[in-house]
Amino acid sequence: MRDRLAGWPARLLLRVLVVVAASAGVVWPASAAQAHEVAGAGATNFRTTLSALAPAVSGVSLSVVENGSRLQAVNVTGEDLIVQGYTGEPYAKIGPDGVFVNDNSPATYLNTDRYATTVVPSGVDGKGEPRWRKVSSENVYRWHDHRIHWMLKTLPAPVAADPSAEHRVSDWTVALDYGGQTLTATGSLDWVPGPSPTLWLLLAMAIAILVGAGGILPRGGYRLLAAGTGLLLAADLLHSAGVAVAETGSLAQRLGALFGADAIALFVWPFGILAAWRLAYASRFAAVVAACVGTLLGFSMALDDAPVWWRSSAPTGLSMTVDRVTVAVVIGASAGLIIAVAALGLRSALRRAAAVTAAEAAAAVARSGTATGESDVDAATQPASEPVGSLSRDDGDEGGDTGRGAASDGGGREGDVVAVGESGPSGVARRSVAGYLAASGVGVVAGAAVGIGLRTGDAPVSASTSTTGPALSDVGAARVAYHGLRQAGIAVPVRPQAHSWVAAFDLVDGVDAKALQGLLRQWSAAAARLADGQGVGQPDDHLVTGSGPCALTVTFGFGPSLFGKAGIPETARPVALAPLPAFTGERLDPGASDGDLGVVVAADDPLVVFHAARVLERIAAPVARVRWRQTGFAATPGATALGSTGRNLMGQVDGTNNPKPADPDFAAKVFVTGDDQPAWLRQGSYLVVRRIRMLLDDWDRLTLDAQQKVIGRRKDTGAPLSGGQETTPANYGTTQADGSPVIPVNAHIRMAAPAFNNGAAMLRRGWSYADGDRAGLLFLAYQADPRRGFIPVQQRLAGNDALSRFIRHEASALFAVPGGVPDGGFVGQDLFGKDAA
Amino acid sequence: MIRRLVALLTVVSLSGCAIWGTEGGPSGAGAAKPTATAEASSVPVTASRGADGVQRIEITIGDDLRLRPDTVRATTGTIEITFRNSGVTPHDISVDTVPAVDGGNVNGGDTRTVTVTVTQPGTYPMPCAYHVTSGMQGTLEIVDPS
Ligand code: HEM
Ligand SMILES: [Cu+2]
Repeated sequence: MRDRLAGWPARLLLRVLVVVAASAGVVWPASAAQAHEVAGAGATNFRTTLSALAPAVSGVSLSVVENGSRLQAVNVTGEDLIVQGYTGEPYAKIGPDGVFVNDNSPATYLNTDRYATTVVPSGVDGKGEPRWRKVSSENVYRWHDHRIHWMLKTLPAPVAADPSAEHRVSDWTVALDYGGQTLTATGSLDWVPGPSPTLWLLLAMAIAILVGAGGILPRGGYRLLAAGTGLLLAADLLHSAGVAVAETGSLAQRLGALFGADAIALFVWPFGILAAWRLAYASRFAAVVAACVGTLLGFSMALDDAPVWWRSSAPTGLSMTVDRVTVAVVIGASAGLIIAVAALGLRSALRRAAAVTAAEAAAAVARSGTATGESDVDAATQPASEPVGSLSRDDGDEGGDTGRGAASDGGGREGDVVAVGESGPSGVARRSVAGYLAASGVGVVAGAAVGIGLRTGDAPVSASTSTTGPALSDVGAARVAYHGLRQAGIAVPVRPQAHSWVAAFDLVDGVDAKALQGLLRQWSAAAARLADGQGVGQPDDHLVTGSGPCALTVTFGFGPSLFGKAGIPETARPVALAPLPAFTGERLDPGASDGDLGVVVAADDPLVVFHAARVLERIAAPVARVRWRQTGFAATPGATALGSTGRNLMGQVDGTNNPKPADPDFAAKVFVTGDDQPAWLRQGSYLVVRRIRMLLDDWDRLTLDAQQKVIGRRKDTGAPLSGGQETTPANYGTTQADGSPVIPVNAHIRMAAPAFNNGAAMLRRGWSYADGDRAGLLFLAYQADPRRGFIPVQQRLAGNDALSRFIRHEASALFAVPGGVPDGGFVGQDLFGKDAA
Repeated sequence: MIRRLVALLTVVSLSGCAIWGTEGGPSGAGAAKPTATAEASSVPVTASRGADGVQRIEITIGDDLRLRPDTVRATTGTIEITFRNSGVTPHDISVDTVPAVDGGNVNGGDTRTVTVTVTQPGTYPMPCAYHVTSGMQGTLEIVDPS
């Protein structure tokens, strides 16, 4: 009797709730579109990568957060860090006194919105004195930086043309000022297509069928629905918690991410928990409520979050696979609940029809009810007038079950069922299921809310240094990630490191494809560890104990002679990887040229370079042997002003007119982007290595004026002889009083410039070398295609330019440099196609 | 069964994938692609020379992050470029002559005129400081008057 009374408040509560749910359903679709996004960004195929912050400063770090929506800067040092705005003006200041933004910078207004649909007050141009306004007293700041993400609501044209291929959309740089130096963050924006959604759709359908069976199964059907509802809630909660973890904002923003827009989850989840609980007591009305909850959660999930199935990233703290599973469970279980309720409704309609038919036939004695064909239904105990959606239990489903325990089975009223439950074993099981579901649901919600509230920052990808232990210098701490879309050491770091080791290896005779792949796999793994400042577990690791990664990069390439060996067919060799033609005046040493595999190791410390080179040689030993190796050097970081161009051994400023990462056509000049090249080379490059001896004794005999005319630039500043500063474009039309050009017709820059070579361009990234009495330039040039880079330029220069008299090309090599290595992959793996071991 | 499912999916993806926003459904179905006109706008337009010898051109800049026309042709001399913002997002276009001339911020609905004097024939980029990562850049082509 007590139990019967206890049932009433619950019934009333549910009725009230369902009215609220119905009205919530009206407002829900409007807010669904904003649910489960972080800072306006949902699942996406755009990927923003930060590849380097150079020079590194310990205590200063920059990272991409919220799935590419914002940048985050942290500064725990005693000095201010200033983020530059879009036109180089000071925008934000993060320092010991907190965070300030400059009200006189347009960025302050633009960066408040993901798509910059704002208005910049008139007069704000960033040119005047900064007007600093304090925004927080923390040492961290996060802002929408429009340089790092795609700002249009339509796709980039190349992506639209081929959305299932990877694309480099753009390269970006963001500059920060710190203690009188400029820290440059470089990164990229890529389009990375996601997986096929089929698997997840099938999973959702399987769950839907399983849960939907709860509406048909004569036995245990309600318990299945209760479990389905519980599963739905748990998955929705886990999914939301994942989103909340990715949110880096305030406590309120994080809770907002957890509960969705308008905190709608706070209204919906309690219904779900209550419905799950009542379902365990076989309430059909609870099934209707559960289906309503499922409709709300399932539809918003399908509208808003289903794209995680086919996009490559999402703002979530969960792994993508777990996130995809939660979405499949929510959508599947919701669909299942709807199917189940439809089935329940259909069944009771059929049953009522059957009862009416039976009455009309006056077959009151035919209590077996076989007319309906449903042997488990006791027609007499099921009042024909029972409305669908009342709190009464549906005897049809549970009759057989509860019948096991007690004689009162025929009662069929809810209160009795509770009484039955107390004596019957299955009743006990049902009650505890219900109790657990309710308690754990509430507990998990509360726990997740508290956990997310207390969480203090996350560990996003960061290009900075860790600050544990005694601080390393900027030079030692600099770290360049090995993994990425492109290999490191080409465009990143921007300034070539101070030391290098360039080598070629030849495969040992009889090496097969498997052994070669094994070598590449081991090389890649070692390079990733070394670039991260970790040892490889050998005693000689102590060579670098105590030193940081020093911006170590390792870049691998494949020579023309590799094709035709180790099971790689000769026909697989890219057309552009044909051996270089002979050039006028060169005197090449074959033993120091060419090779099957090329390796460039570079770092800002000679010991770090030596160690890495030895590790790579040792790994190669059974499979490949060094054919030639050459070390090189450049100015020590800090020896010259930050950002200044280096000098070669002739004393010239060398590298001025290189393609710049910020140029719109930088990638097209340096990296393989087109479809005319094999897929394994995509985002890769071609590397030309030339060891060029400088005939320095002859050179030294020239006067300064004559030396300047050889290149066409001043030796002190590097400015073109036509005037201006180092970066002023050369004017090849400027003439002297006698009418002869100021930059002579055979000056090196005139003959090498892209403008005079049909646009042929390359990224020169060489080092000086000096061994005994031979010294010169270890010339390295990266380009998208040597036939539109090194070859035509060198054909023009060789024997013709004024520099030819003072240099001699003594060694040469060409390598195809595959694209970047994904985490867990190995360099050039796509060359091996399906047989990659 | 699987085949039917795939067929159903295809129908859904072709018709309704736009509900999933810019990037659309699986394999980019229903994605928001740039319109054909947005792509085929690289026809250079020549600035018109006024009686005072100044060459003038109006460039419309909008929320599609394009300059229309996106290539302006002119001869050496003084060129007056008026940027008319037809959208709601602000832009800041500079003309990268040497030295570069910064147009400054132009809010939605506003216009702003910059004057550049170019003596060297060549092609000079006109990037938007806010949106160059998303490809917002035009070109100023300067040729000799002869
Ligand atoms: C020891 C040999 C060489 C020396 C000392 C040398 C030196 C220089 C110097 C001082 C500059 C001007 C500054 C700059 O823009 O970087 C320059 C520019 C350049 N060099 Fe060399 N170079 C050498 C070999 C080569 C070779 C073999 C090539 C390619 C085949 C080459 C291609 C270029 C190019 C493309 C430029 C830029 C021209 C421009 O656009 O202004 N150089 N070189
Ligand atoms: Cu813009």
